[in-house]
Amino acid sequence: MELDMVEEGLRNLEVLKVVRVGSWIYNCLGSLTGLCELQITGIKGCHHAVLSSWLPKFPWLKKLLDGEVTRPQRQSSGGHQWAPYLVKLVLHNTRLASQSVKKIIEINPYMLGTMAGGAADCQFWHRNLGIKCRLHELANKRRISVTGASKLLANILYSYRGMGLSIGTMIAGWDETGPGLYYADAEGGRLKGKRFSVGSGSPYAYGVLDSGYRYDMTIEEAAELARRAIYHATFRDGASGGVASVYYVGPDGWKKLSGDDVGELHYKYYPVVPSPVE
Amino acid sequence: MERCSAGGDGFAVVAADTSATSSILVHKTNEDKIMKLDSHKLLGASGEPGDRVQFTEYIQKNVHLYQFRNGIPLTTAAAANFTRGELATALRKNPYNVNLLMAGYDKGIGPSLYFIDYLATLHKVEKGAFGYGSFFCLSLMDRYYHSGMSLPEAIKLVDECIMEIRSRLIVAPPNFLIKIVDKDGAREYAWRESIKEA
Repeated sequence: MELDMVEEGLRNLEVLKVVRVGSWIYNCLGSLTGLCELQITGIKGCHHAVLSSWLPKFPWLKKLLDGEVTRPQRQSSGGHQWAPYLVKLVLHNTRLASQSVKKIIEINPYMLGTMAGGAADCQFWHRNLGIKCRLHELANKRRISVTGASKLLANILYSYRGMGLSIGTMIAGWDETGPGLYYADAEGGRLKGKRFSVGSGSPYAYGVLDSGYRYDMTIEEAAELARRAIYHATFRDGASGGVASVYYVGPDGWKKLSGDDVGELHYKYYPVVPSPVE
Repeated sequence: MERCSAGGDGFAVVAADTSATSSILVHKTNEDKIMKLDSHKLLGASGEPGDRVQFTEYIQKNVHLYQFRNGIPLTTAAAANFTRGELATALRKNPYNVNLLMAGYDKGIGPSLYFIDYLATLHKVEKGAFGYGSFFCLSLMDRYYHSGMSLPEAIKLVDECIMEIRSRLIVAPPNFLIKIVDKDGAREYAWRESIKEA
């Protein structure tokens, strides 16, 4: 049933409809397979990946994936090609692909950990770190510092070095000495810094983050910069996507500022401008 | 990871780059890679980030422990030999991938410099370097080093090494840190920055 609807939709394609149908297709495919996500956006020149094994099953996909869609009504008047649409068919290697994975883990009310690499590893070891932090509080009658917490995690990761853990994480928190940000990875490296970006899309995010960063930004400016950096990384990197969550960490602990779907952010930053057709 | 050092008249100088990288990404450009073992010893380290920090901190704590237990600090030679021993023991099981330059000042002996590589090779040297930059710096130091150099002369030589690395090495680190040890102790001498970390 769902396939018929999709074909019907394709037959009556128009510019804005392609976009709407695209998300429709993505939802259909997602529900059919749970294995991939299809993103269609009207931007020229972006990379697209095709899973050829899909084509025999959905031959009508080829039309879209070739990047050219013509409006049936205009075909009689000589037909015109539209600008190629970005079609990203992103295969998720994990068995369960989800757009709603929480990638910021709340270790305790004043410390956050980010997730990059293997989700299970990150979730487990952050939870474990939370336990150790609580034990420290009980044993020493005071909160653990961000330095201490990140060192605990880094030492654990170092001891499992070479055994296949895949973790790239940032520990952000507030303690007596003020704000603290540490980067820790599965190779045992630990760095203190003022800004980091981790993961497959991190170089893209660094570009936006570095150019827009100032030490004396306001909270809103910083949140917008972070959101922008995540959006730009997701735009270029096939393995990034979903929801961009932004948290603020202050003297009273962390507070979630926003959680926007990156697809929605795209239309906010690059709204579709109807242009006259020649 | 570039490091070079030289011993002169009553002092030893260690310089290291300050980039923390991960394949093509530079995470930070002001990472301090020269650890102060105690009041009169410096240990410059380069190698895998996890190994570097963990091993140098391990050596630092053990040097402290000796001082607590025995009431007197280790000599530079003793610390260097201890470090080499630890590297050698771990080599056939769980090797540390770190190259070290240990500089120290002992009362009565004066300054000394030890070259310790990741295979636990130990040499007492007058000048040493690790990394791709060593290809350029070692010959520079061979040419211009002489025993009994004054501190300004030695810093000038280190600066020349840094300039050579910056101009000739394909992906040269932007920032360097210079530390010295002399009778007054081990301390940070100067930064040579071409990118200011915001």
